[in-house]
Amino acid sequence: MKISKSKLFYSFIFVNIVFIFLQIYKQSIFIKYTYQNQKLILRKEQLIQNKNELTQQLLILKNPTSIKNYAIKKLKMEKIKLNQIKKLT
Amino acid sequence: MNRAYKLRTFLIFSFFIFLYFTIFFNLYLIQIINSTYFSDLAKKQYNISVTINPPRATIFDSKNNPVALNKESLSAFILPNKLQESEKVKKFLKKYFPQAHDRLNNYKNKFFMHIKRRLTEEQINLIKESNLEDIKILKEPSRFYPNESVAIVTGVTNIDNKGMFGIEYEFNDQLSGSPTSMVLEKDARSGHFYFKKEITKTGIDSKSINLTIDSELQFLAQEELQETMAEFEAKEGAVVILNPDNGHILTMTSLPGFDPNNYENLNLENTKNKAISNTYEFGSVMKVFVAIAALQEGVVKIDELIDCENTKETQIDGFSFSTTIAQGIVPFAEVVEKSNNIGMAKVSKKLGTKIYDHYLNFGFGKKTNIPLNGENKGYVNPPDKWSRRSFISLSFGYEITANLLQLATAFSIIANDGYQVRPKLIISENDQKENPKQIYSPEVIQQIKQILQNTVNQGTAKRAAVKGYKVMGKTGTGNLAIDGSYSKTKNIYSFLGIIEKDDYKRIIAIYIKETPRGGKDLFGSAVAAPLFEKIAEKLLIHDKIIK
Repeated sequence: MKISKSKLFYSFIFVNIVFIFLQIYKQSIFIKYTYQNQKLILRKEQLIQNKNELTQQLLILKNPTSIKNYAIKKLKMEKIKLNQIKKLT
Repeated sequence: MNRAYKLRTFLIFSFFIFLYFTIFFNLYLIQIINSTYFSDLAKKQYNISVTINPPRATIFDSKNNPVALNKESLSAFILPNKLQESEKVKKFLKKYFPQAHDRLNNYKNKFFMHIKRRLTEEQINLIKESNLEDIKILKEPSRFYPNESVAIVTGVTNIDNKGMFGIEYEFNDQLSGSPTSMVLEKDARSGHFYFKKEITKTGIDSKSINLTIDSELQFLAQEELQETMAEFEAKEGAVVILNPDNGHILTMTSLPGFDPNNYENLNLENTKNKAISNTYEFGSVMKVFVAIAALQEGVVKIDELIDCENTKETQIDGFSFSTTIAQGIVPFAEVVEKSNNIGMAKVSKKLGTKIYDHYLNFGFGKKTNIPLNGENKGYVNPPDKWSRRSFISLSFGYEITANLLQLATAFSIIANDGYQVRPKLIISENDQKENPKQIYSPEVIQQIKQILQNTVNQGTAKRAAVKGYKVMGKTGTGNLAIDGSYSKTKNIYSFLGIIEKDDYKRIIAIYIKETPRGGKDLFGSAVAAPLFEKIAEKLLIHDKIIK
C-alpha cells in the first residue's frame, strides 16, 4: 500500500498538534495538582499553628503552680505525706 | 493594469514588507541582541527568592512533656516615610510607647521602624482600639515555657528567638536548624501560590531535645526548696537529684529564679544556674570523701581508735581550730558520723598530699562537662600552694570549692559501689554504650555506706531519715568567706544523701545559703537535712516507690 507524501505530511502535522495539546493538558493538570498541594501545605501549616495554640492553652491549664494554688485555695486540699500512702498489692 | 495601480500595489506591498521587517528587526533585538536583559527582567518579575526558617524545635523533659515550645508573638511597626496620620501616631506613641516616640525622630525618613516587639495583651488592645492604620502588626516566632521551674536549665531565647543561655543557647544550632532558600515562579495573580519551585540551598531541619530532667519532680523539689528558704529567710538555695545508675540529672534547680515568660523583666543574676555556676567551701560534707581516701589508702581502719581529745577546740602544728561535738577516743567511723573536725584533721595529716589527688579523683576542680554554659569548676588547693594549715582545712571542706552538681556526682561513686558515672542532662542513644570506671574498692564503699547510714540513724543527720527507706547522708555547715575572712554568721548549709529501696536509688544534693538566723546554733542538720527528708518524700511519692 502506497501512502502519498501529502498524507504523510498532514498526518505528521496532526500528530504534532495532538502532542502539543497533550503537553498543554499535562501542564494544566500539573499546575492544578501543584496548587492543590500548596493549598494542602498551607492548610497543614494552619493546623500545626492551631495545634500549637491549643497545646499552649493546655499547658497553661496544666501549669503546676496554678493547679497547686487551685487545690489549696479553692478545694482546701492539703499536702500528702508519704506515711499516708499505702501500697495495695 | 495601469501604472498607478501597479505603483499603489508596490507601495502597499513595500509598506507591509517594511512593517514585517520592523517587527522581525525588533524581534531580533529583543530575542537575540537584548535577550539577557529581557530574560533577566522577566525573571525578576516572575521569580521570587524566599528563605524559610524551620520552626524552632521543642525541648522535652524525660517524660516527653514539652518544657520549651513555640508560640507566635505580635510586634507593632510603622513605615515612618509613609505615615498618613503622622500627628495622631506621634501623639499615640508619646502616650503609650514613649521609647518608640523618642526613636521616631531618628527614623523620620526610614522605611521601617519597630514600635515594640513581643507585645502584651494590653498593648495589643491599645493598638487595636486606637484604629490607627499606620500602626501595623507583625507575627514573629517566640518561645513559651510552660513550667517555670525548668527554665533554669532550658534557658530562654532573646527577642530574635536565639538562645540566650541554658540549653536554648548551647543547642541553638540544633534547635533552630538552618534556613532553606528557594526561587518561586509566580505571576501577578497567583498570590500565595507558585507555578514552580527551585530549591537553591537546602536547609537543615531543627531537631528536638529530650532532657533528663523530670519537670514535675523539678517543680516539686523547687517548691520544697522555696518553702525552706522562706522559713529560714535564706538568700539562695539549690537542689540536684541524680540517678546514679545512669548519671541522669532528674532535677537541677536553684533559687531565686526567674519567670522565663516575662522576657523584659529578667534579672540576669537570677538566671544563673547556681547548682553549677556557684562554688562554695561546703564544709563537713567533704569529710565523706576524705574518709574514703583514708580507707582506700589504708592510713586508717574503720574501727581504728582516734583521739579526738575530748575538747571542742584544739591546736595541731600550732594552728587552732574547733569542732561542734567533743569526743574522746572513738573509732574512726564515729569520727565521721559525729563530724568531728579534730579526728578528721588527724587522719588527713596521715594522708598528706594524697588528699589532693583523691579530691581530683572524685571530680572536684574539674568541670562535669554537662552541656550548659557557665559551669564553675571550683578549686582544690594544690600541694605546692599549701600552707601548714592546708591539710587541716582540706580535711573538713575548706580550701576546696565545688559546685552542687560536682558534689552529687562524687556521691554517685558511693551509690554505685565505687563506679564513676558521668552526669547527663540530655538523653542520647549513646547512653548505654558507656562503661563506668571503678575508682574505689567496693569494700571501702560498703564501709562508708554503713557510716553514712549511721550518720542518718544516730549521727548528725537524724532529721533526714525517711521511715521505711534506707537513707545514707552527710550534713555540712560551711562558713562563707567574706572579704578575706570566714564569717561566723554567714553560712552555707548542705546535705548530700542517697535514698534507697531495693534496686531504686537516688542522690539528693542540697544547699541553702545565708540566713539571718545563721550563727553558732544553726547547722546543716537543722536546715538542709529536713529539706532532704521533704524532697525525698516527694520523690518517692512521685516515683511511686511506696513501702
